[in-house]
Amino acid sequence: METLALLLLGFRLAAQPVNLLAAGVGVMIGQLIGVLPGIGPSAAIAILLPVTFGLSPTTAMITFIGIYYGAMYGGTITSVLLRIPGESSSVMTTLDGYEMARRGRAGAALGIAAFGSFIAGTFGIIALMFLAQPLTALALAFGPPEFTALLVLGFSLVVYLTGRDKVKGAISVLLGLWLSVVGVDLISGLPRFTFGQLKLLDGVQFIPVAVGLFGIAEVLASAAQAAPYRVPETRFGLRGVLPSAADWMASRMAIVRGTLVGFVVGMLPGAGATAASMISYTVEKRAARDPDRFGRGAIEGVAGPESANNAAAVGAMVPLLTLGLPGSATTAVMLGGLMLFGLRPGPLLFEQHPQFVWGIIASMHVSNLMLVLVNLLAIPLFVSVLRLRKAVLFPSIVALAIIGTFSLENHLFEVWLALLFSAAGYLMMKLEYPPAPLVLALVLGNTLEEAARQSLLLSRGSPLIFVTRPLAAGLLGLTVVLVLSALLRRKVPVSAPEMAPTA
Amino acid sequence: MRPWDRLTGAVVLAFAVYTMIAATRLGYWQGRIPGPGFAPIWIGAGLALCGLILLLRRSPTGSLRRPSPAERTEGRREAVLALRIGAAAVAALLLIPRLGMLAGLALMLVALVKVLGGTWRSAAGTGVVMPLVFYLVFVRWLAVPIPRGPWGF
Repeated sequence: METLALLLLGFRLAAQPVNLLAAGVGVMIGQLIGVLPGIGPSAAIAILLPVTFGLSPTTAMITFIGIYYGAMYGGTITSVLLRIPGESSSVMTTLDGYEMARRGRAGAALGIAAFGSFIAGTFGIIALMFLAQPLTALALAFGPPEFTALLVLGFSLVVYLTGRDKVKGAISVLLGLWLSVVGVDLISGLPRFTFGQLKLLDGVQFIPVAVGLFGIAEVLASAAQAAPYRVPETRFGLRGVLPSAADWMASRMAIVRGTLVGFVVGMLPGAGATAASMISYTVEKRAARDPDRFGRGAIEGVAGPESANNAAAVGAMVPLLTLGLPGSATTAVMLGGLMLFGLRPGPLLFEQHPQFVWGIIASMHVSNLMLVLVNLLAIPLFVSVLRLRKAVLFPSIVALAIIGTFSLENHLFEVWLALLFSAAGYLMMKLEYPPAPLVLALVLGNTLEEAARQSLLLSRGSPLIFVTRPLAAGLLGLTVVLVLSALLRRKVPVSAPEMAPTA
Repeated sequence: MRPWDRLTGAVVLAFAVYTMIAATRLGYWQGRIPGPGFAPIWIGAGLALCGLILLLRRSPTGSLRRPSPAERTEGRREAVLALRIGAAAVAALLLIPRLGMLAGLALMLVALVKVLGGTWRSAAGTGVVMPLVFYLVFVRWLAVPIPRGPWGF
């Protein structure tokens, strides 16, 4: 009952004209980002973050969530029509979605993807509403040792689930942690790794790093890829995209399974929407009576993964809002953004800022509804965007990244930093180092260090505090199991680059 | 990917050694509480371990297949294009303090559109329209104090 009352409070906030406008702008930007290869939601949010400083934190966060969900929906369009995933989370849709398009059923593929995403998103948000309170209560029992253990487990999961090469994933996390210690140490007041740069005394800001690694680096890597795109002739009117009764019958269980798989996988740090859609595709193929149809235009191969990636996007919000732990690159950027607004996601957020949290949750429903309408009614509009030439699009992204990063501190230093990290990001992509764990670690590094040092302060320097408290010991035990299983297991079921939690 | 893994392993190891030396100087303990070098030492140790594994492991999990000549040519073309885009961005950053943000970005936009194979018409259009949009959003709406050139914008 209390949950419903809080949700009503949230809807009152989400229904304010400025917040409805923010959700609308967010979903349209997200949809565009999803359609256009070369920039993902994490880069878009990082670049647009300074633009939102004039808004309230709630309105800014509603915009970001709209972008996040919009990108999940938008990535489907290019996957179905061009066999090019606009977002990594839509990669599985290329297999059967494109085959459906080749057989003149692009509208049905896009329609079932939109409905599946809507159902999955709605279920995910309802699950988030009811999970939030117990998880928050659990998190309130956490002291510094438990939080240290939880973060160590989180980073281990990121390494375990990201990419096929765990050593490279671990290096990415450790480099992010290294970047997080740059600047003045808050306890001793000593500068660390600042190399005489006054601007580094405050530490390395995550926005230039995210803009460089996800935004400009992606442009550098995508610039040489072939374009323009040839969009097949298909009818995208409302009738063309409404699934038939037979399509519904074939897809209904795939949507249910995809939703459940997506939500659970989305809650795990490091797994993300891409892994969720891949696991869902595998589940559907195994569940099918005739698995040979997969890859030849099976509608379940679209309905399952598309439901899964949207449910995962909502699932990723559960640890972010309740524990302050982002599970993906996009939610890490959102966390960094919230910190810049002076908000600290975690259990206390629900107690101290209920209007903010429930406004966000209510706005997820609003964004989800907006997106299904946009995807049923406005597909031709987004298809026309595909005709935009990359020779115009990519330079515009770089220019926006430069002025957006500048406006963060009104200084060119941050822009130089973004360029430095774009070069690093390009090299990381080429050498198969996942960039997302670096940003996750940069955002959470200070929290981990602070929690570890506070724990040792409590125990007067004894590391036994991490094993004598049951919850901390349990979490560390899980970490040990995870590390051991990674060492003993040579093969990972899902291949690497697609697993990167960029969404 | 194997030689590159070895090279990056060596770089990571060297960086880890530097981190641990610098962190030791900062101090692991301060009395009975962890000092400013506490976290960097652990991070350095982790990096050293990972660097050593990259250097010493026998069976890489990265790509084992050698790229074909066509793939190598394509890779070189992509790298050259990335370098040209990066060079245009660096040139813009060097010019911005002298010419102003909008003029510097306009020049970069024109250069990048041409680098990516656009026509002069689209280059000129992008070079005018995008800075105008930036002016309206960042200067007029958000009041960002962007660097201005000798002509006042």
